[in-house]
Amino acid sequence: MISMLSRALRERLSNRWLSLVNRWLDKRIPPASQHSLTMNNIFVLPTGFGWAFIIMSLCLFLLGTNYQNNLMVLLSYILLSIMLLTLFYTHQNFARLRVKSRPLAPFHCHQTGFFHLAVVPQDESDNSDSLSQVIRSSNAQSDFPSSKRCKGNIVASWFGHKAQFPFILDAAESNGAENTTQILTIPIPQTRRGMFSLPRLTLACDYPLGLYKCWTHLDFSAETVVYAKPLKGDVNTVSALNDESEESTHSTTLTNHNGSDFHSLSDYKAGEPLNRVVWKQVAKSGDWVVKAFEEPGQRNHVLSVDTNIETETAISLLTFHVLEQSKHGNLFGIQYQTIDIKPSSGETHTHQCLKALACLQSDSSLFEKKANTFNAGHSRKDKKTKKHSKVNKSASS
Amino acid sequence: MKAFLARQDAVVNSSDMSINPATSHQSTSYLMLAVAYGVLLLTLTDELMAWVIVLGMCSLIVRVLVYLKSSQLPHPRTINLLAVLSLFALTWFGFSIGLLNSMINLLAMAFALKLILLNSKRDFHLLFCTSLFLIGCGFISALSMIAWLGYIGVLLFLLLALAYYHGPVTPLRSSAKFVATLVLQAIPIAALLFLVMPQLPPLWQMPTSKSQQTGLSDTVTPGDIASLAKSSDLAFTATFPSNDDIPLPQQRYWRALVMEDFDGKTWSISDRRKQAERQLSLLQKTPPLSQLLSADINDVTDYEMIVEPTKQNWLFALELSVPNNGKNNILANAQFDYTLRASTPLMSKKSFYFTYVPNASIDNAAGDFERQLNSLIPTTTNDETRQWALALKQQHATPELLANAIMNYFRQQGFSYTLEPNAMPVDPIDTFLFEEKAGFCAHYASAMTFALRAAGVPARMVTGYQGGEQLDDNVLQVRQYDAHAWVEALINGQWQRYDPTSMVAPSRLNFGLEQALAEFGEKRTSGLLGDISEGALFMTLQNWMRQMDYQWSKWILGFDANKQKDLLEDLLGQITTKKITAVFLASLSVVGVILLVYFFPIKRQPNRPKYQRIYRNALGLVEKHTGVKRHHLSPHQYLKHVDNYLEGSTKASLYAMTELFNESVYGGGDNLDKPLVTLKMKQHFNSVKQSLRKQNT
Repeated sequence: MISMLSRALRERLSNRWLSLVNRWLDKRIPPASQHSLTMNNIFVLPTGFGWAFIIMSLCLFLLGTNYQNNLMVLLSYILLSIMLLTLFYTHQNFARLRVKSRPLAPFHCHQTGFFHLAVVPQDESDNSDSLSQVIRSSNAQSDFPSSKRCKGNIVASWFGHKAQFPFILDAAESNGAENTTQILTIPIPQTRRGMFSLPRLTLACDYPLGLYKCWTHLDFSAETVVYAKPLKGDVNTVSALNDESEESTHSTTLTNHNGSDFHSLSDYKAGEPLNRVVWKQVAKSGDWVVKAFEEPGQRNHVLSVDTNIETETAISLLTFHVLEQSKHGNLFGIQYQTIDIKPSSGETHTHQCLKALACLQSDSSLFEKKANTFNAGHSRKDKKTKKHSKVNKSASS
Repeated sequence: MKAFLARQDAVVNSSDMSINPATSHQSTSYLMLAVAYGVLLLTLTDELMAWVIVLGMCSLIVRVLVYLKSSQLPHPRTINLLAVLSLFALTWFGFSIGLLNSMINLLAMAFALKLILLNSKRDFHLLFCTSLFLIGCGFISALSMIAWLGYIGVLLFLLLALAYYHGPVTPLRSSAKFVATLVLQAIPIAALLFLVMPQLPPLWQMPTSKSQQTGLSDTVTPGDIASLAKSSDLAFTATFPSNDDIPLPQQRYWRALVMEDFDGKTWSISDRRKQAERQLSLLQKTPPLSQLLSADINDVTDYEMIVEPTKQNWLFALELSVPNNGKNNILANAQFDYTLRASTPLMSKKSFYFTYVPNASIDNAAGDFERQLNSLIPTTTNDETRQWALALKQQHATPELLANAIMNYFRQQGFSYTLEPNAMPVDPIDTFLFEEKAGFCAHYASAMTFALRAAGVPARMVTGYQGGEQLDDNVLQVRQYDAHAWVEALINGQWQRYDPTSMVAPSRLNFGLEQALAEFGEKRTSGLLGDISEGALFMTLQNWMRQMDYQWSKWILGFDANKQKDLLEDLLGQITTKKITAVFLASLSVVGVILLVYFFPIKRQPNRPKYQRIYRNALGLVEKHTGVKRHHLSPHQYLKHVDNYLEGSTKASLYAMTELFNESVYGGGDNLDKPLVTLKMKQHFNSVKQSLRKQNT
């Protein structure tokens, strides 16, 4: 009982402490997509080895004093001076680090997402005026030779997580080129679906002697959606062919042979399958056009799941089918709980669907995110025109 | 199971195959650490036992093999077994080599075993720290400047290994450059700390090493000092205020020990004397030596001695000298036999301050006790000498005459002075006096003391040094081969000095040992080196080295609380608490300034052509005038931005300047007439300046 109480107390205290630290960090190192390390955002402390070094120096001092041996005392003073100087060298090296976050791509929660961080050479991100930059680049040789870059081992970790990811900063060294950017790819520790904002990234470096550790906690204010895990299975497909409320331009005027008929040419939109591009046209005029097919009934549909299936499973099933449909370039929409997305296609549409699924509140309402506010406009339900048909979707389709 | 093992092997191999630069850096720095350790072992031969050195060298070889990929790391179990065996060996030998040495041996041994298994960052750091400590241990016995430089070299090498380890892609050369810079930058700070940090007295008694006694010993068997004469190591350096204050060569008797106990062969410090000294100091009696100065004696000389480490308590000083304990860091205590003892064993070079009182006499300080103690002789040996002494006593009425008769006997009976007398195992004094008639100073002193005692005159043997080579105008250096033994006889309540050696080899006193031996056709050192050492160049070089060593001893090794105080007093005058505080603050700020010099990011202006600088200045003027900052705007954008603020003439000049700037930076290329552009820029700049000034007024 007491142990439980004390654990609870400890947890509360540590939570409180964490929130204090976070607030302090937010003030100290405000979020930005690009960080230059300065006096304000670098922390420095001796490493374990650094402390051992200090203790060894003090031992030598004691030994030298007790034996009245000035050489030993002098040695200990030299070691302490080295310790002092290394403090500055470590800081100086780390302060040369410039990092820029790359856009965070969505990923599925069963996969490992990766955060790409570019280590930029100093002059590229140098925020002095553009004039001096122009002049610098016109001056053939750079003002910042490769020796002025941050060197050594960088250990990245997420704030509050144990896992560490070491990197060697070597772009300049190994290529000899000065303006190459090195990309650090750091796995993201997220296992739940939903909106995910990147935690603070801790970067640490002990170059040159390992006596001190310089570190910083950077907030890149990056957010992404972590899609739900796809799950093979059956879903209901509601054909939206006769849906009058649909604004879809393709009407019933065309007969359909063999599932799909050539209808007309339209402009290529990003995400459309490449096999529909009229390559002849592209070669002739340079315009990217695609063959638009009149979608058969089954291909223009709204996905939904029976309400008796557990929410998480349902979301996983829907996610799987959204991916499938998107792969085949079909027009599709989703209707599940609060989600109602009209049939469409393309990359943005797929992302919208997946995001809506990812952000859906679970039964246990674990995910108190802003969820699917974006499709509030579509949330009205039109049941009268829905024609239900159960389609068995095999994995191969 | 087999399959599993095979797979594991495959994994190991594959990881071996893909050697990235980091691991190659690691194995190189492991090897560097091992090499540094090997060097340290070879410098610690005095402290380390042979088998520990062999063990260390084996681990170095293992490391080299691992580096060359021709061998795998041994299994930890093997090493653990080896560790247990080594520990047994160490405890077995540990008792005979003393606590300090066994600790150093333990450290070196553990290092060797860990080095074989070294494969992680943690171990690397551990071994790095241990080798720093081993360097410190090296300073226990090696105190010369050369040794110091050598150890700093080892430190540099160790730091290089560390920097190389932590810079996974940094080339070795730039690591080396960094480490060299680092140490060079550290030395001024360390020197400042050395000058300013308080020099503390020893905090507690440390174990001393047993094997390491150098110089005189507290027992003398005639022949011992002869072996000492082969060593030309420095014993001490004495610095006098001026050349005139240096005593004449024949007066340079540096008194160290008084031997009052004789067992027929060996002279030693009497146990009864030690006991008596202890009792007297318990009774808080003041030894007569300390009272010497209270009498009104002029003609005294203050001098400083830098004594080489002897690992012993006893001290030597000119006969007679009073310790100047107000200045001494380690107290020199006077004894009742007029000898001096340091309060702690001399583990490193130390300075002592004395006052030389040339005309003082050594009194019988302990009365009958002393008389009795110095009349005892073994009555079973050396019969012939005893009878001879008794016969002399019959012939000579007073002790003085008797002593002179013995001295004359040495001069007249064809005695010779030699470093290598024959062995005299039975009745050594009889053999020496009546058969061999050849010996070294201890033989003469021993024989004379024995004869005096046999004739009823209390006498004792004194050991110390005699002579000294002049290094400078006012500096004397005494080496181990200056070790000497002489006789003191108690006559009329005073101890009179008799030096029988001077009867045989008079030049020993005036010209030193080499000269004295040369007269008897002997050389102190034999072989090739002896011939070289007489060459002029060699002598100059040697003298130069000795000078350097002297300065090193005086300023680095002998730097103590007094020297520190003197130095500060020279700089600041009278020392007050306020001044000390000021000195500390000042040195802190000096360290701060040094760091600032090293690390302040000096924003170097890019080396721009002059016309560009003028243009930028013009923009700066506009900024100042309009109060609109340019930030990242291009020149054209900026000018549009401030268009409203400016007058027509200013604008015209500015636009002209911008045109000119763009043309020369982007358009011009190589055939740019820079002086012309500069001139035009200057003209425009002036007009901008003038028009802006007009606007302001």
